Amino acid sequence: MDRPSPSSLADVIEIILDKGLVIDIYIRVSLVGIELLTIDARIVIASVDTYLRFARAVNRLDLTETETHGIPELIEDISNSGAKGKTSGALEGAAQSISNVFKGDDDDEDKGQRQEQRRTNKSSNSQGGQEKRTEDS
Amino acid sequence: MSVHVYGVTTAHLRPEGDTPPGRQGGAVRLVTDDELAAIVSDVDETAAVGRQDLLSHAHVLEWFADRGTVLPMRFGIALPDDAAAREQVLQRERASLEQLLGVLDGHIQVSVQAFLHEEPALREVLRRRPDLRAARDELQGVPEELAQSRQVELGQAITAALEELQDEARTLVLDRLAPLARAVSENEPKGALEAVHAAFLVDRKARAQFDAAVAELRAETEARLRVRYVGPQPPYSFLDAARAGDL
Repeated sequence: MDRPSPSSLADVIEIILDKGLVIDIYIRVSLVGIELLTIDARIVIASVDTYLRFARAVNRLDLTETETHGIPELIEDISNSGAKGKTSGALEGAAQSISNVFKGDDDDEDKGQRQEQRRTNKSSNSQGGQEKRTEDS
Repeated sequence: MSVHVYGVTTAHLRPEGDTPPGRQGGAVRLVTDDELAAIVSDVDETAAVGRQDLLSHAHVLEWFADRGTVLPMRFGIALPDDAAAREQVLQRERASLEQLLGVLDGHIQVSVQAFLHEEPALREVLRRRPDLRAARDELQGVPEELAQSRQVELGQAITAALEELQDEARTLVLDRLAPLARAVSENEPKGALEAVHAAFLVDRKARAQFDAAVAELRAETEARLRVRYVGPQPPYSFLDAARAGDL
C-alpha cells in the first residue's frame, strides 16, 4: 500500500502562498526571500532551451535496429534461420523485434553522454536561467 | 512577539508530542473559543521568512489534517497575541468557519502528479510520428551548429506531439482516481512531461481505498509514468467550492 508523502518545498510554494483562508485584518509577515524562492521554482514551459533539449534527446536515442534498411536484413535472417520459413511469419517476427526495441531500455550506454548533455544545458542556461531547480529537501 | 496562525480546527484536536515544531521552532498550540480552535505558535514577525517557515506551516497543517478536519490559513497571517487570534479569527469569522468545517467534515485533500518518463515518451512519439522520425534521422550527423534552427523546430514539434501522451496519461489518472473522491481540482501541469496535477477531496474512510488505487496505478504505469502522491493535506483547493456550496 502506498501512503502519500509530506509536501515538499515545491508543493508548498504552489499551495500555501496562494490558497487558504485570509481574514480581513491581518499583518502580512515580512516576505523577504519568498519572492526569490517562488521564482526559483517556476518552470519555463516552452523555450528554445527546452526544444533543443528534446531534439538532442531524440538524437541520442538508439534506434539503429529499426532503420528501414534494417528490416529486409532482419527478414532474411529469420527466413534463413528456418525457424519461420514463411514470409508472413517472418514479417510478424520483424514487427515484434521493432516493438521490442521501442519498449527496450537500452540507455546504459548513453548515460554518460546524457550527464555531459546536462552540463552543457546548464552552461547554456546561465543566460536564460530556465531550468527548474530541484529543491525538494 | 506575534502569533502565527496556521489554520482553524475543532478544539478537541490537541497538539501532541509528535506534532511538528512550528515556524522558528516554536511550540504549536491551540487558541480556543468554544469548540473552535486556531492553531498558532509564537513568532518574531520581523525575522526574514525562508523555506523552513513555509515547510513548517505546511507540515503542522498536515499533522492536524491527518487527524481531523482543518481549515488552512494562507501563509503569512500573524496577529499580535492570543486574544487577537481569538477575536479576529474565531469570533469574527465564526459563522463562515463553522459552515466550512461542516461542509468539509471528515475529508482530507491528497495531491497526485504524473510525469511522463522522458525516454520512453520520446520513443513513443517517434513511433507514432514517422514524419518526426524522418526529421530526426535527417538531422543525425549534422553538426548542431549547422542546423540549430532545424533542431529547434524538431524539438518544438516533439513538444507538441508529447501533448497527446500527456492527455492520455491525464485521462487514465483521472478515470482511476476521480470516482474515489468527492471532488477534484486540477492545477495546470507544467512543462512538456507533467501530464496531470490534481487535488482530490477524499473521505477519511476511503483513504485506504484511494492509497490502493494509487499503488495500482503506479504499478501498472511505472514503465512510462512517475506518479507523485502527497498528503494528507488540509483542503486547500476546496475552500472556495465549499464556501460557494459547490460540494
